[in-house]
Amino acid sequence: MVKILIKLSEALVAKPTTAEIILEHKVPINIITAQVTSKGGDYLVEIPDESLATVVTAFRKKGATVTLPKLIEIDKDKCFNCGACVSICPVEAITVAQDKSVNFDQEKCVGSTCSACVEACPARAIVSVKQNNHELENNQH
Amino acid sequence: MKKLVESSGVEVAFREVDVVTTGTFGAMCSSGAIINVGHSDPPMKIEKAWINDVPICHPGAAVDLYIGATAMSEREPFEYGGGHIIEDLVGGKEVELKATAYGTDCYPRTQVKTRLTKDDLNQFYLLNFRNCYQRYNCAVNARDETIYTYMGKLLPKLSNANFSGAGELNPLMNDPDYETIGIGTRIFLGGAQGYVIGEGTQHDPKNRFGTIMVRGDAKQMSPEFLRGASFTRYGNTLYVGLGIPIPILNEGLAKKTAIRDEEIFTNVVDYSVPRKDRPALGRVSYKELKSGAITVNDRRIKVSSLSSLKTARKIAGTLKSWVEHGEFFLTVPVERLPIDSVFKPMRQTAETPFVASVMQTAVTCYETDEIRAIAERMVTLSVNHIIVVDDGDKLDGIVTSWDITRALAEGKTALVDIMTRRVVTAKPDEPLEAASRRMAQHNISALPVIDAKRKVLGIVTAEDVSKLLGR
Repeated sequence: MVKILIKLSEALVAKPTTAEIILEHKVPINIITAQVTSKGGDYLVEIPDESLATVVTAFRKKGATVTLPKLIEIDKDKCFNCGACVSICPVEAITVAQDKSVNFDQEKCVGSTCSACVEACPARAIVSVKQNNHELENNQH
Repeated sequence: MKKLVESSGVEVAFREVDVVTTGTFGAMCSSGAIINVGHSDPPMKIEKAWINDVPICHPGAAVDLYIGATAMSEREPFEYGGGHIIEDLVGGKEVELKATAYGTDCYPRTQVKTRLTKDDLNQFYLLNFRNCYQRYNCAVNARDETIYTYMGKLLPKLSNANFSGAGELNPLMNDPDYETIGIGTRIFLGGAQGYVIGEGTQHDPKNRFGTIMVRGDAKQMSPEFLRGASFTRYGNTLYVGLGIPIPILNEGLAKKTAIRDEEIFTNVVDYSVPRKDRPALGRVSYKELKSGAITVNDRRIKVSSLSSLKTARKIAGTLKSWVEHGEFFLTVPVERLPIDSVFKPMRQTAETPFVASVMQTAVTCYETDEIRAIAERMVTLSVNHIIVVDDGDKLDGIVTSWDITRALAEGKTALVDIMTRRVVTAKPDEPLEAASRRMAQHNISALPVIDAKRKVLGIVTAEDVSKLLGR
């Protein structure tokens, strides 16, 4: 199981966002902590590892912000900007910039349970950091 | 050059431009370095050698060694290899040399262990026998499981694609008839100046797959342009930075160096087919490849570059600045690269066995058959595998004697509860080695042989394979 933090805007709180995702994708989502008012809020949920990409993408599609603790680290000195990791990434967290640098978006990354990029990196510049739930809890406001 | 030719025409471009610089930075496996480590006292004729636990070739006399880029560490295979040693040495790091010998009257020493840096070496030359492929295939995987290749990690069912090469920036693409490139051409190699010493192995000019053999003083090079690399479950290699200045000697060269990515095409090749000639599923331009997605069979596939276009640009830029500042002088090759040589496949004097040659008639059953009847057939026909087919003889699943045992233990009576539906299969025209490897990978002892429409043609078992391959 993996924990993620979801932030909902006022508009999203007004709708049964989480219920819709559970029904649409038939995934179990267990709410651990929640601080939600009619103005919006955030809550920590637990989901099965294999549903991570699906759930994160689904929440983002609806406009929610999904955050995780730092799970993937890129060593900029080792990376030689080939881009082998780009097409492997299921959530498009890795992209090629105009100047052909490889950019990594921590916000989009679904982290160590995916780690598809780690073994695809010829420079071995990508390291998967074990998920630290404590760090995630500190992320809450 | 590209913009100038477009806006002002070839004639003006020819008059105004003297040199076009090019660059590429990619995995070039047929690379390595020749080193001379000096003589020990007492002297030794090295027989076997390792640097940082990577086996090193000893092709010549006493203390000349060749570090092959793809040699893998015996302690950390796939993670550290010859390419990494070259990067470490170039970067000024100390490496550990271990060597053994049988000992002779003139070279009595039988073992040595020491630490060396590039400054301790007499010669340290990068000596690459095949670099700088003019263009390369775009790799995909049509099979239903991830494969790991020298073209990187390829996800199942064409879920991603990988390509290599700098396209319009590639040195040989800018002088495709090798008017200015040949033995003695001075080039950018690994951050220093090096030379082309001839055509590379597998040079295939007619198909626009030209290659070059190069040499350069590695002591002058930089690890920014020489990087050891690891391809998961494939092996180690070296990323090499290489650039060639093309003098614009005539209007033809002005036109040729104006080549654009949209004019350079390559095939999308299915790397899941374990053959020398793999099927091409389509044709794409380097422009499409560099855009991040290609279309194959009406499907959009995300595509990654395995070589660094950013570093390739930096190489072309550095070379340009060297030329402009008089730090680099162009040379006339003493002999041009061949333009008509051919790249032949191996002459094989023994026949390669294929699945079709050992395949046997499969015993089949239907999903609705009773387990007891299936068990009886296994005993009567003395087989361990029965293939489950539909009315049209198409593969539905497989049931093994082990499944029957399990059914008995768990009290199951319906075939559908015990049969395996996700079946690993083989094709009749597949080399037996490939089928055998797949059985070992999945820890199974038989593969149903099917055609393109999943119709069952037979079965190949581990027993039959070992009889033929002698394992």
